[in-house]
Amino acid sequence: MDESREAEIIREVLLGDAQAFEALVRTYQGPVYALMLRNTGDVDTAADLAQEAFTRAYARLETFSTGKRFFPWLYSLALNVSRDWMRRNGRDMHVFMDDAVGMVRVEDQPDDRQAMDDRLDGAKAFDHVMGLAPKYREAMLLRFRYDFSFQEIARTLGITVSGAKMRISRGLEMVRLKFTEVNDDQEQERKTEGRSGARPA
Amino acid sequence: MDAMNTRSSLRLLLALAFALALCARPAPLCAGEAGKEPCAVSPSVAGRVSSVAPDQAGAILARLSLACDEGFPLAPFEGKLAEGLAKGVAPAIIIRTLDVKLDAFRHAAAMLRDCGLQPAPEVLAVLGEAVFGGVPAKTLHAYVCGYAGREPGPFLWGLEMAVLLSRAGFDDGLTRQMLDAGFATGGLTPDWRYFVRVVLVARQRGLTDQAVAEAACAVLRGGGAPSDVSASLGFTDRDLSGRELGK
Amino acid sequence: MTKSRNARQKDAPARGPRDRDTARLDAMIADAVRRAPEPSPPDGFSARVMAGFAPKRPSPLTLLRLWLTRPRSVTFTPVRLASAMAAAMVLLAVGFLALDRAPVGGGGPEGPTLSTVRFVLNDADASARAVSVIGSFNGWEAETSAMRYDAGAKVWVLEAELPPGDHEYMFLVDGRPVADPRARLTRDDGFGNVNAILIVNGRHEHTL
Repeated sequence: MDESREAEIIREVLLGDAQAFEALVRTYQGPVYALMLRNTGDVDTAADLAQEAFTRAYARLETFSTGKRFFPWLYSLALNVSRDWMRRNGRDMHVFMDDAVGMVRVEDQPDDRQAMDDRLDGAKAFDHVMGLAPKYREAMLLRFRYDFSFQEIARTLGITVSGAKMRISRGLEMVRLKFTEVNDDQEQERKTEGRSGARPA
Repeated sequence: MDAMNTRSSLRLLLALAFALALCARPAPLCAGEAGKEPCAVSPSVAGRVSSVAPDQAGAILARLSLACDEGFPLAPFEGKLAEGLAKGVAPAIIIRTLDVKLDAFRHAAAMLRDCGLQPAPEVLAVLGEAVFGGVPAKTLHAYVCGYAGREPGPFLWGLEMAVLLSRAGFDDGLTRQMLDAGFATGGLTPDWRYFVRVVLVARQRGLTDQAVAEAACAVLRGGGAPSDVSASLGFTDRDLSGRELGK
Repeated sequence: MTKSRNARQKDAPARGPRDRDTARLDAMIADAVRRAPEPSPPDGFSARVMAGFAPKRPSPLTLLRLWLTRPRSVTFTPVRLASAMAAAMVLLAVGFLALDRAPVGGGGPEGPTLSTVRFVLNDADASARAVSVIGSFNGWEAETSAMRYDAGAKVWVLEAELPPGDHEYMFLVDGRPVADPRARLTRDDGFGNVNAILIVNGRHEHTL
């Protein structure tokens, strides 16, 4: 949504037109819900938390600085809602993040036979990104999917600008590595199979 | 450039005068809710906000406005704003700190409700400042829920006493013993709010917190004052002067 | 670099053949992240969210802020300018009145019992040009609490009359905030500095 239109809507809401807020909900419900779903893995909880994020945004709309983009501000609130939920449910963010490093699910690992195709398969690339630790994953989504500037990423995630850059480049590196690893393994396998001549039909 | 600055300051001053004019009369606009005190920024703070760029002044006023809407006392927020401006803190950091303070007051209000209490402004002011100042939530929660049914006066004085003791690193358990003794006998008077002064001087004299607490419990049971505690520990009121404490 | 927000190009500068490979892979990853399908929230989500909202009743402060940041520019005609000046003067006058009532050194006959407190800051080399005490008791106003240099004792001194309560303060040394190094009770000020806490209990502090 156009920034000046957003600013206009926010002024209307602050002046008492609650319904004007729905345009913002409709525009951003997808990303906010997706964030909650990534962090909870449950559709009902995700919907509740997404609702909580918008409720918090409505209640605190007075603190939104006009002249900035609304979405990064909303996203920060949504991340806080998600963190609060994780804390309440004994899933401390730090623990969650550390555990998540090894969170690539088995079924997400590309089958050897499909490895070559996967190289060209964007869907697999996305799966690899989703398999990263949340701190890299969220930074990459903000950058590539939602076009956040590094400054916006830094503000949203509560880190420095150089920290934001580091997360993006490290995230890219880890996903690249997944492709390279898969490719190398497959090369190795082919050589072995070639020597033994025991390739099944 | 100067003309522009003059114009924007005039704009801001005019706007502030407008807000004050609105709030000078008891218009419903000024009341957060019916029956509540009107919420208006004080003239001296309004004057100082005018030194900040209009956008940032707007963001600052938004925080004060939110504090007002949520029923928080405005003075702690105005004070923090004035403090930041006096110390030359960047407006962006002042804004962030006001946000942290808003969250602290929300937390304090939720804590009071959790313990079945209405967030009265004077209690909220002490409790919100305590949360903002980093007094452990566990300590505050134990006090608020533990003494929720007490008379409002002693409840507030005891809270101030407990908060200052916690800031001085006094053991929560010892504080509780004193409070229990004070509430049991109705001996908790406004003087006890600043009991931490006795503790600080006693420490300087090499006395243990345990010894101070025991003396305090005995005095509280007899309906005495903090000065009786210092007397029983062997030092006088005179030792408790501002010079002794801070200088 | 262009103004484009195309992150793929910005984040992956390509140089050698290997870099070009990396850049191609990075572009593919970025593109995949951009295009991947997003789960949809349940039907009627926005209506459910909106159901809980009561319309806001803007406070004067909110109105002021919206007025202040409204997207139009203001031009002053001479008449308007004159009234703006008048409003500004009235405001400043009110401001000064409020300052006059600041507690330091004040305290009417029916006010709370005030206690004299002596603030002292060492400065053996007389290196500071101006020192004040700013605190919660004087509205953090440096102007009302300037310290004087005692050349004999090589210290900056201020005696102030304070009401009972726990007061926070710092020194302002040539415009820079400085924590009281001798304070026994302190508190983080939320801005990265430390305020000293001074506790005054009027009843027991008539003199120093």
